[in-house]
Amino acid sequence: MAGLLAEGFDLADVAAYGYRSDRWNFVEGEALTGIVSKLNKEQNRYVISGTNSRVVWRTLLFYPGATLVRVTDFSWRPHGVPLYFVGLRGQYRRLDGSRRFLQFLNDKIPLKLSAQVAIEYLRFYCFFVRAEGRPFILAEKPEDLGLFDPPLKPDQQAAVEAALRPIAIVKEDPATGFEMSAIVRFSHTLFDCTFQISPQGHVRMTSDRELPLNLPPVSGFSAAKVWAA
Amino acid sequence: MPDPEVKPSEDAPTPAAPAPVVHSLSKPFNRSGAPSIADLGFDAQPDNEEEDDLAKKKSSGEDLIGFPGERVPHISFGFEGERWRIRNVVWVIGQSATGQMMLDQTYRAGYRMGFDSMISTGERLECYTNLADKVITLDSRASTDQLVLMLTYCLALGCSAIDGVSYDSSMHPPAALLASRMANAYALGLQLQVCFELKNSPTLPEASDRETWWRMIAKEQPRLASAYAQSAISDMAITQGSAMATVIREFYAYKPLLERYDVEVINYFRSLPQGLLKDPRAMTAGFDPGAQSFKFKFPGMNYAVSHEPKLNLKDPVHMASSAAIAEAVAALLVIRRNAGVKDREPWHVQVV
Repeated sequence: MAGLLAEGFDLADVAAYGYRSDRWNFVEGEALTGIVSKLNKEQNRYVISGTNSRVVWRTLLFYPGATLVRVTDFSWRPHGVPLYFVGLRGQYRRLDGSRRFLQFLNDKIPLKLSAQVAIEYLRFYCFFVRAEGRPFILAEKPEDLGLFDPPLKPDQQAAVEAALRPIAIVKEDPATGFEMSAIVRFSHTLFDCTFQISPQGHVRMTSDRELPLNLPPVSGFSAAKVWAA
Repeated sequence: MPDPEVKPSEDAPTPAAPAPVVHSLSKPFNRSGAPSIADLGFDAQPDNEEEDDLAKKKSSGEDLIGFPGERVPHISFGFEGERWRIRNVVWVIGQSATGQMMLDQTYRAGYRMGFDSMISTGERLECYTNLADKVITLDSRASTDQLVLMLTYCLALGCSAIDGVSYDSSMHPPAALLASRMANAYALGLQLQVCFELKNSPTLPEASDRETWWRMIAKEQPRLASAYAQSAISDMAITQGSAMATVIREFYAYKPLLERYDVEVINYFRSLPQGLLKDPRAMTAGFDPGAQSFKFKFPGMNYAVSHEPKLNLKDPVHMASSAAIAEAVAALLVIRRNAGVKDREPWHVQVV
């Protein structure tokens, strides 16, 4: 018999974020009703359910005063839909996957980049700017990659683990910004990439080299971790 | 002087039968009340350049994903090209009778459909249906064939709500979970049927590979459908000790029938959850949180619980009071007989 789970209780989600983790702050009660009502006014594409949604928020160190709001609306089928918003001074905008929107944010919110938060900014940027409908997944550990379908064979798994490494700051210059290197998963391919981040927040991929791992093309389930897990 | 009255030429062959109905891109449905694809919000292909220019102007700028002003009933989201992708997919689905029914139902219910890249958080292809808001979102990364399957599934989920095989937030969580499993079984059954019909659709182009969708779906989906149904029914059997639930579960576990994929079997998949969950709200009333058990009130349950589980399946009247259940059980018997299966007597009831 399959275990009975309360509706909205998502094991994968709990595994990814940790229930009531200290990173995300849960919104409950009247505040939840208020913020859902506000988000429904700010965007008119979907009607977010006030009773079936879980809303969490966290601060963004590189955007002082701004918050990242994640709404998981469980009134969708077959499972909840995550919607991301950036909030600033009581106003919210849905992150729509366009680079233009992040540039708009960088114009409106004074970006505060330091060596401590630059990596997090890169992770944020790569996840929320979509190309061909998919995010760039920065992978430091095998868990960051998500699952492959069909699953990786042991030799492929070993090759992937050997290829992964932490995101590293290669160069830091107050005038030109940061140069970073990272392993990126895009579709079923891993790339060794170099990024240039300007002090204004513009991110440019200056080089990318495909890692010859011969990973299987994605054909099904692959639950890569969401940014800021 | 020739006779002004037009007479049929004797040489011309007399049509033996009316010309077969040919599906067209813009009118795939019977127009006697049913909507065409154009009514679904997909702009018809412009006939002249002026309209084409107009369409280009309309699709630029404010037509982008996620911008205000696009919440118009039946108008799909996205760029012009994405609308055309959906239109093509809808056309394929419209080549099956069940697909037309699903499109018709969801259209009348006011469903909107579109792409949204921000609903995915990884490499998994995602498609979602919001029953309350009546929205379907698809994944632009999917190939056209995958989109056919995804949209069929989403439409089927929408239809499950319309047909009553669904649930809402007022239900207790376990009952909602059970109902969602049944709705999924129902939706997957519908998806199977659409692909089954597409496999034999006379209106798809000759050059097309009509079995593509069936090949993609036939391996996993029957297992999924039966898994959903079985898990729901196992829950019932455990909590109720219901002979009927056991019988139905045994049907789903009956491999030769599942492998035959004939229309009767697929119809059975469809009719069963619909009959069981005709009144989903009634199920919640019987939920006992302390005991974590259900007291279902669907047709036939009282009878099954109050009698010894060795029921005589050959007499469907004893099985259920609902016509849908009785019909489904009768259909099961017919299928089993046609398949050359000898009914065990008495019916074997598994202990869970």
